Amino acid sequence: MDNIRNFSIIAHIDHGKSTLADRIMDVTGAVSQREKKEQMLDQMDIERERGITIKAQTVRLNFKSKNGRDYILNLIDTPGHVDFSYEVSRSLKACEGVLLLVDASQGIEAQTLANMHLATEQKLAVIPVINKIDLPNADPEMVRGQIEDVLCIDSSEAVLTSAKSGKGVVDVLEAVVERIPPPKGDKDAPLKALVLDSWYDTYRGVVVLARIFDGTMTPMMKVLFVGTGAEHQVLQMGVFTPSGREVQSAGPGEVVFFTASIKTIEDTKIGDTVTGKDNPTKEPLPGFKEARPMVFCGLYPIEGDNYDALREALAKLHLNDSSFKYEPETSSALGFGFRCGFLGLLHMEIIQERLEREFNLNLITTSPTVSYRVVMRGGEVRLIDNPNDLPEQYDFVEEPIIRATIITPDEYLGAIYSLIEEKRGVQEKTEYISPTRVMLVAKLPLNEVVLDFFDKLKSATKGYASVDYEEAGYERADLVKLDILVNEEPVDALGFIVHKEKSYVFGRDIVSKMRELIPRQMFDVAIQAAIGSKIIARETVKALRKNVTAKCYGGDITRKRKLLEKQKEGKKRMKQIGRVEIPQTAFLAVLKK
Amino acid sequence: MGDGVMDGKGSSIDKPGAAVYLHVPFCASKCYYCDFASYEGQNRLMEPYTNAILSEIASAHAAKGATSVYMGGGTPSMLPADKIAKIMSAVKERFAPAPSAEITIEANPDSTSRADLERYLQIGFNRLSIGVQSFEDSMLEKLGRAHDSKKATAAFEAARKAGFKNVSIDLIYGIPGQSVGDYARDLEAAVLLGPEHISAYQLTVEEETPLWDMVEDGRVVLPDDETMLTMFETTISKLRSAGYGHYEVSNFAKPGMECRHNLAYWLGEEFIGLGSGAHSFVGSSRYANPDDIEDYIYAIDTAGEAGVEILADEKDKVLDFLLMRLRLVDKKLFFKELNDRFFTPATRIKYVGEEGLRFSEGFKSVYSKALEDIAEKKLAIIDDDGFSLTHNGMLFLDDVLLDFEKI
Repeated sequence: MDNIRNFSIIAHIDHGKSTLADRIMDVTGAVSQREKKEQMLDQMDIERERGITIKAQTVRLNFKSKNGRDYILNLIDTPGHVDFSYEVSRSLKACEGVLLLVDASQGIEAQTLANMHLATEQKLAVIPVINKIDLPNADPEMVRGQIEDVLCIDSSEAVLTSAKSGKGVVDVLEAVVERIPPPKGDKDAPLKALVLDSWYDTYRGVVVLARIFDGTMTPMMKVLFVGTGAEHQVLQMGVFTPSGREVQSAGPGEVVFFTASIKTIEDTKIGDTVTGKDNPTKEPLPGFKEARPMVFCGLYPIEGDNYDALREALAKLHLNDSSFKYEPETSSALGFGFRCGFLGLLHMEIIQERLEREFNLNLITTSPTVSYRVVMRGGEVRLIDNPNDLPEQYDFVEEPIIRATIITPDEYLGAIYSLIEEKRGVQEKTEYISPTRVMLVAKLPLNEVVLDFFDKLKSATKGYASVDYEEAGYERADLVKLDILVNEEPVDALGFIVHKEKSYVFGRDIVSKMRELIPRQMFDVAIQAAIGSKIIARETVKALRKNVTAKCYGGDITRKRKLLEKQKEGKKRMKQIGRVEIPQTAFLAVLKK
Repeated sequence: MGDGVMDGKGSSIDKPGAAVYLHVPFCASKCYYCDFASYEGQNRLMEPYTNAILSEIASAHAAKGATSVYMGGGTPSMLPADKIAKIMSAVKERFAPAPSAEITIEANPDSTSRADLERYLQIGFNRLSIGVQSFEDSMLEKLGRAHDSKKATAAFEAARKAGFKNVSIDLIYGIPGQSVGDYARDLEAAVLLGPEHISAYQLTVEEETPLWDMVEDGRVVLPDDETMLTMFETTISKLRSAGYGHYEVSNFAKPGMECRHNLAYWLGEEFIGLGSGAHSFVGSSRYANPDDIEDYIYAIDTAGEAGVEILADEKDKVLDFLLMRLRLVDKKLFFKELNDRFFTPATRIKYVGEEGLRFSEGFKSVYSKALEDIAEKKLAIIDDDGFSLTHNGMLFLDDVLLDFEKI
């Protein structure tokens, strides 16, 4: 056990975490040149393409230190994006230490801070690593200063690397061996293992990834999942090196995957404790907090007959990522679909993209919303995550608030202040972390953030600002329900909860967008934005005057057929609201905003 | 076709002859809006092309007694008169048009001399269709036409002097920059000349034409919908009051002077297309010759024929018929005709629709949803034995067809 080190790399997005992981695998000989692809640990296509890590992966490596001893290093990769702090903290539970990776040219960014807080909360050993030192604009000394001042860590022990070229990577591993404590645990005690992840494999059923704290696990052993009460018999066990390799036993400190003919993912809740059925542990692990979805939307198949396929796809994805929630929902405009909850906007986009890509589905996503607390006159509190569920009568509504930490070059401070104001935010703190970089803390309503805050921040700062956020409770706000009506009929997919002050501009914007996108029909189409019975914006799509092909060339019917075929295809993608046909592009444009 | 026996491309002897179309793909210059199978700068191919079409005529299977012959293009008048004569004599030999048959040649105002016109009459043409398009030079320029308005009038007068008693004029409306007033003057000018037949087409912007590009990048702006509708309505009212019947969406004729040849297309009668890009409808099948001149010549030289069947299932065939037939204005379509064509016991159709196989009980029940929909939208009036489109039904003919598309 003394030769095991369990660690993660934590970093702001793009600071080179996956590249460092690749290099570590090179150095430890885990991957032959032939197998090598960029970002080995990022298995999903979408991860490689977006250059981000979504699902945490674990890999077991062999390392011979210059002190002459052989070590087993379990590298637990973590996602870098703000939406996935849940997965980060899950990964950290399995570690005794972390590499805190900082880009030598960019310095500390918002997620560096956020991840650092997660690591110190769990009292993990932190090794600062300054990466990309051979970039022309690298400034390791500036970064050292930030590490001291902002993170309050002794920076003299920071390791300098260039993961890209491989420089300093061995130093990183030596630091892991020296400075991260070995796991503790008793191999003779009852089995106590933590479920880190689980996913569904078509051939083997549910595969569980677990970190063993006490005891020993062997194939054929009967295990109990303490939280769910499910009992199973372990079949195969193995480690990722990074490809799967079977093992016959695993003891404290080890991270193993196992199968046990488990059919339902519900049996294997992440954070649950696995123990021996015959000799259960008396002290199960505390487990994780259940991830709470922050952002909600409706997902609908573009072709209605894909509903079953969507349901199956969601169930399968859910096996892999239990942090999103879904339940059936019906919309008169969009048909049968699902109301889904996600950890954040990126999470939503990724699930949507995986559904489309891995399951070949075409989807419409309704406008993302957040969960509101509606306080009724009697004092009863209702949580609603669908604008259409807002009751007609209530006392007041509270909206979720977040506290955002933004790190930015100071030249954009003015732009960020006005963006925060525009987004109904309140600035709490502004602090220089280096002569030209500022850390700014502000409270913002989550619904504004969900709408387009990140996009706007990006364009206001040319992409130089980084942001991370945490929940900061609920606050009362003057919110209204805004409906869009097409020829007097409300379109349920286009219901929004917006701040009263913004409702007019919001409504007018949508209505004029819709006008551009709804094709002219045989009659006038009125598009209205309404709050209750009050119409606040209106546009009309004038009736089409005629639709007849002027000329049929000789006896050639093929042109005409093609033309009709085209029109027919267009109609297929239309949704009918009353007599009005609305193309899906109109929904998409409005819903994407 | 009527009661004729449908027995594939080689049809029986006792039924009446078909309409014969001859395509001449050559043009002096291509108009901006044209995406038809016509080519400029290909005159070197006139000789081999003529030989190919002669050979196609010789081997064509068709009944004698053709009801009409139509030589269109391109610009038929580009072809030297002796070549036209050769083609027509082959046509006469092979198809033996009835004495009353309508025999049309298309001509452009800039390539038509009095001498040519007299020659055409000698060859046997008895109807002339002149591509005037507009009487206003600025409009003609916008279309990329080679002629000016004086030539158009001169060509018409020359035709009359040469002795053509049946002349048709083509007009185009909805030209970029054209006002309703501009177009009304075109209509008046046409009426003043007094042709037997007027075709007035709304300018259609086809993809991959210079006009498409001009519209796309904003160099020209088409009149808006409202103006287009007014132009269309103006066409109808002006020509009607001048004694021209509105018999097809874009076609008008003095009583009895409707284009016999085009009626064959619209009524769903058989026609035989010869030459590059020409289409045929024989039996219940459609065939298309290659658009490219050299491909066509090659096919004829090597295989002796150039037609490729356009595959269509029974549902397509019904729609193909409707999309032509419903273009005829105020002409009731009887269910009996539809049933005779498509729903006889012999042709009882299995429809593969959304509900799977469906055996037909006749047009009215198979298409009941479409009929209901168009009636509800007031696009058609339906009674026990048939239906006819309303004025709105004509204006929204493409919507009507889409309703028939989803049975």
